[in-house]
Amino acid sequence: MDKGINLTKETQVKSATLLQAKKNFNSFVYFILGLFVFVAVLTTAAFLFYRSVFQRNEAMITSLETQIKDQAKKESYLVTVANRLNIANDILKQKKSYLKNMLLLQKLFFPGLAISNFEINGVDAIKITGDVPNSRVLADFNDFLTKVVRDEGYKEAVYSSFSLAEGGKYNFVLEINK
Amino acid sequence: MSKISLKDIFEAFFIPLLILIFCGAVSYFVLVPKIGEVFDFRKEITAQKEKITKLSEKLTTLDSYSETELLELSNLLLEAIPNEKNFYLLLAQSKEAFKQSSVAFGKFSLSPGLVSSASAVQTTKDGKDDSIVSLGVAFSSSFEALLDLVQKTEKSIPFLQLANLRLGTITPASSSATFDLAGDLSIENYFRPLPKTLGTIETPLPKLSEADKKLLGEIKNWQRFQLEEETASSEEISGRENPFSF
Repeated sequence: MDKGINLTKETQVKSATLLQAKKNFNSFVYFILGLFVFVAVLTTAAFLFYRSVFQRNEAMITSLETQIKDQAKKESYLVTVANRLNIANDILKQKKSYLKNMLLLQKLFFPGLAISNFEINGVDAIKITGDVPNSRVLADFNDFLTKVVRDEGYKEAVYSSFSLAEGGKYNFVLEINK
Repeated sequence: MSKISLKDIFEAFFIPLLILIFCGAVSYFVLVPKIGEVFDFRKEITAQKEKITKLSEKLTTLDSYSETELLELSNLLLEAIPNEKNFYLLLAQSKEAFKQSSVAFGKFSLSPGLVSSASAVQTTKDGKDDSIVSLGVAFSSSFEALLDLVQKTEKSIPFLQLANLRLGTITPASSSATFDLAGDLSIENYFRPLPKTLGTIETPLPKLSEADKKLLGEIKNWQRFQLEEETASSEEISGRENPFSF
């Protein structure tokens, strides 16, 4: 007597289909599970690694900041020096020198010339009020003035006022410009 | 033909489905946020590296300077360009300059204006430059003495600017080689405020160029009109909170 399981062909097909589908699905699930585990392990490893690097960097930053804060005095001195140097450079660029004009005045001391007023307005203009005793001295002074102005690199000498006073003296106001 | 029952399907796929749902849920609620955190960490680490580079450079620069030397330089430069409008000091230093050059210091006039004890100001409310204090002085001297004064104030500490020089009658002195002069002039003194803060901790330090170092070397040798009772300030500074309190 046959004691085996007696399945109809239809039932056999059904079971085989279900089995095959289950097998396929299980393979898919194993693949997904494997992928999940792989990604989870990788993510955890990366997370732990980057967190450790982050914490190490934070500690390093804190240490560097502390060291810099400890040198705050030095920093403020350095910032002050740099700040003052910037300002000093600006000031020195704009600073006007009177020395050249003073040396010009020294050169303008001329026998017979009497200076009653000398003004330096900035560095670009000198104003001299004075007189000479006669026309001969005036002529000599003019020649002398032309030479000095040219030699010293000034642009021009202009008589802004000129008059003959009593006693033959010549009064003038002279401007020498750069 | 009989169909496969739902029960059969459920029994066959229950556990794998459960695993899939678990994986999906864990991925959605845990894994994806963690991956986001990993990317955030990477970004932050990049920023940290930049910050570390900046801080290390700053620390190296700071280490390369001597505190004593910097203190001396800052005191020297603050003497050259004060941070406060100290008109009395200008008057005293001008007198000292005249004395050193043998120029007689006569009448003087001064308009200090707004007196700032805290710090200098760049401009007043009406926009006028208020970072210069000017002293008008009447004087008498020989030409050489005046020339000496002009030379000394050209390169002096504090920085001084002569202005509006006006001479009266120039007459020959008893010695024929020189002239006696009398007139008036203005002496201008500059002052500028100090920075208020040091900025953030990673703000790069200013660098002193070769030209700056050369200028510092020159300024050190410039004419001083320091008064005897005046001493250089060397007060303690109270850290980053009040870094310019000297």
